[in-house]
Amino acid sequence: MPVPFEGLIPYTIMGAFFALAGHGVGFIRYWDNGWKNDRYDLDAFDQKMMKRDFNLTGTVRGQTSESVAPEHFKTIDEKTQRYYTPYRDQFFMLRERMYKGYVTGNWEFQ
Amino acid sequence: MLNFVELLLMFVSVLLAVAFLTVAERKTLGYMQRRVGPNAVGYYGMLMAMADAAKLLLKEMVMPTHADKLMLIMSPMMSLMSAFLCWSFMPFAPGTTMSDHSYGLMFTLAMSSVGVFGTLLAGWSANSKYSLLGSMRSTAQLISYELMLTTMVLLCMLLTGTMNLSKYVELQESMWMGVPLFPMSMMWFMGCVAECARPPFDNVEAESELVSGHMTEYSSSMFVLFFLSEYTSMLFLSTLTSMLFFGGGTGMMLGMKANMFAFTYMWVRATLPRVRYDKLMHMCWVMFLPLLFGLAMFLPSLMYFMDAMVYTYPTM
Repeated sequence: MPVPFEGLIPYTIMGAFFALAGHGVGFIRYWDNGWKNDRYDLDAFDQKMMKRDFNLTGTVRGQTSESVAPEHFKTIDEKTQRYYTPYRDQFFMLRERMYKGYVTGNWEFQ
Repeated sequence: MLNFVELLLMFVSVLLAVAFLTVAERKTLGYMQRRVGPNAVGYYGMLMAMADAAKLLLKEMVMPTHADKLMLIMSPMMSLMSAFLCWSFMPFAPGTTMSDHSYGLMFTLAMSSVGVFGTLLAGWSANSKYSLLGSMRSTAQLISYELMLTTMVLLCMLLTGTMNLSKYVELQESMWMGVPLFPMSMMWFMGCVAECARPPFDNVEAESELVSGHMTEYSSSMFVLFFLSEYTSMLFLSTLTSMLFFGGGTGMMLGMKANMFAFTYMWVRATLPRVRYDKLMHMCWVMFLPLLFGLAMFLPSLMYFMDAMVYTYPTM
């Protein structure tokens, strides 16, 4: 008995979803990187350099032949603070919030 | 924003691939048993997964009277979360992962271990001796075979010297790791089948002999979570098999390789009778593990020896 074609349809659909995740997302990243492939297996130094290149050129893999950095490069100060709380209109890290008791309920207003 | 779109695309792809894996299984088993399988819902039964999900989610959730309700609800979630978190370091293309990390493979190992707690707590919290005995049985099986799989992953890491899966795939461009490690890749596949508690190692819920193991007291949406986690880990281990031993790939190619192994799970299910529980344990602890520990001593020695040869005989 030959393999009926309809038995292979679900496998084709699964393959299509893998293709979406691989080629589709890969293409978005390729475009987002200024038509360059994604880098992987990066260490802290690579990350730092990519952040610098982003600040200089606008894309993490950007390169420039300008010998002078743009004006805004002097004053860029990027902060990684994720949690916003309406209390005093401040940003907190989760650890700070827990320490101050906003999560556990021991409110400390000072 | 773009990051979220990428994450969503990957996550939804995984979810839907898992959904269609259930259809694939039912169709494949159907044809292997000379019957048509699901063919009524959608185009040739393709929407059967959606219909199943709708049926299960609309059913009444039955809660045992003296069960630990919080734990009863939490344990399938733990299983599902661990099964999905395993995907977070899986590269669908070089670097195209949910999170690219130097210790990705180690995280994956840790996450797959957490899933055992779901099984264990499900049996404990249901206040039923059938559930408890079932969960003991399945926990013993899962822990045993996880030990085996972990040892094999560690050996693969040792040979390639990286825990980043994208890098790992890149290193296999010259040769698939399944070539020098062919016996180990066969052992890996058997371990994967046992780890997913799939036939012929499905003593966890042997329908014909036992009640359905740790899932005895589960119904409707809570059962869906267990069901999903089982199929997610099945597809994950198929993909990991193609990554670790058969060169991985990009997008469609990876999907084809993963599908081949996922199909093999069903093929095995349709072909082989169930193995007795003591034989299953015997195979892990008495046959595979000593062999693997032997390999764990042999492979580094071999690598050291080959390195030393270069210095002793520079012309080689």
